[in-house]
Amino acid sequence: MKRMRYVLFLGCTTPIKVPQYELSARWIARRLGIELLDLEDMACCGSNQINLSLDAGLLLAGMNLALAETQGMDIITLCSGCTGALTEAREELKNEEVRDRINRKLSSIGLTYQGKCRVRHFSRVLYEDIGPDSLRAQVIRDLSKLKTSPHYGCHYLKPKAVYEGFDEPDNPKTLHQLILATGASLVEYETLLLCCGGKTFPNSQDIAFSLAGIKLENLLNKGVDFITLHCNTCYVMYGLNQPHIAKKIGRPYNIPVLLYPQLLGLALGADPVADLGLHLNIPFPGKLLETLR
Amino acid sequence: MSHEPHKPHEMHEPYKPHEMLNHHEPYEPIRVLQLDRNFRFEVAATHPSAQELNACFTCGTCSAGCPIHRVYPEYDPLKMLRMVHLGMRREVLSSEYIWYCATCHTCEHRCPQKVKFFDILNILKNLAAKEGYTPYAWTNQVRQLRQTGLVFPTEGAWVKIRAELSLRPLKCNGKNVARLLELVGLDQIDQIDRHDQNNQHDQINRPDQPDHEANSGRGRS
Repeated sequence: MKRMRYVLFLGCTTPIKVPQYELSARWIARRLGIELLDLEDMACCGSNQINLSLDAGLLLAGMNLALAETQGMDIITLCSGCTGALTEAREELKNEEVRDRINRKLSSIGLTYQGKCRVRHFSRVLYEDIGPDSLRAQVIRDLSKLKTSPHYGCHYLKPKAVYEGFDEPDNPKTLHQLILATGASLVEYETLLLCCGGKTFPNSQDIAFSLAGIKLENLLNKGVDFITLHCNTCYVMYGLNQPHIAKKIGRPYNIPVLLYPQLLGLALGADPVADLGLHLNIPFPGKLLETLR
Repeated sequence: MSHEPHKPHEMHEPYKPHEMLNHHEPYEPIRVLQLDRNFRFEVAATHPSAQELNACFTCGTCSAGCPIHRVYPEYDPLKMLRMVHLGMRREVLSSEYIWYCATCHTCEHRCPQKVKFFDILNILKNLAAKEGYTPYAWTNQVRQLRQTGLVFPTEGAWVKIRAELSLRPLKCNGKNVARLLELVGLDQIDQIDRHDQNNQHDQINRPDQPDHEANSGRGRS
């Protein structure tokens, strides 16, 4: 079997606001034999800086890509936004003229990007390198009584052109299959493709909350036990901000939100608190922890 | 025979373009001669992604699929694109709306003419930033980045949580990031805030605040 080694790109939000995502992803990686290398100088992916300067975004992404390249390894990411920023930059840096321009600037910090390093989301690596069938074969905890719905995160799917036909943005299936592999029951819902609004949040809370509320309302009506997603920005909106959204809209959502590695970890027999950090999730998944006991 | 002065605003509900742009600016009629007819070419020439700007045939698929338009109809990709076409440079660049994009890529994913509105909007934001219209949330991120290389401070309540979970301490080289940002002129941009100084929320991104406030920037209105 191919040796699975990656540079782990954490980004800004995961390690600081959603440490349980990092914790559970590292547990999954250890359990499945994926080696993760941490590089100290990895910085922000640049996804917000393209707002102010497209070149700033390219430089930040290029810096991270070049750093991984010094190790001769590909990058694995946890955040859909980081995945998008790095992958889109990688695509743009295929153009020699652009790469030269960026490399001239990168040389001032002693780096050069040659265009080799690939970027894939954690879930994509699970899907492509390990596969839902292999995951299913390793399940030791019965989750069939749990009902959940997936949320993909826009940058996990789009722009389609940069993702090599990995999934179908209009009818995505990979997270569905990864969830089914854990044995949990899948609940389909209408607003699957709706964006969480996380990037609008810093500039307009009202708009972002109204948007996130649409999906929460939909899922409340479906009666799911929890939402399963795999992006820290989406988690911040549907999880961390859910109490505020509920207050603003006046609806009793209280729908727990799990990161996919947490759900998979449960299926693979991990300790919900020590290995997966479920006690840190907002809203608190008390009922879920009760049923697992 | 004497004529009453023509008062269109008394005959019709007044048209208020300022409501579609900045809520704060007084309404002034748009004069054709004041439009910047080269604006669309300026934008299209900035980046290869913007080249299809003039291929738009105004079908409105971008707006129909836009999640922000769905909850806030005044945010309207097609309208913004038409304003670029018409040369409403000042109105577009000073608009708060260009900053509301959720970056979901749906507009360009569905566009039958391959107009990359998402990329065009980024170019508009880049131009607006150069002219000092950057919202505080983003200038503050640049300030933070130059210190720590991340968009958050490297100390706060979360340090303890990471230690309790036995996660490694975060180390990042803010110096390298600061150097790169300097090379693209962003060390200057973070001096300028779009909004007045009195109204800044300095608690942005401070991790010991409740997350809602800590991450929020400023709400609309």
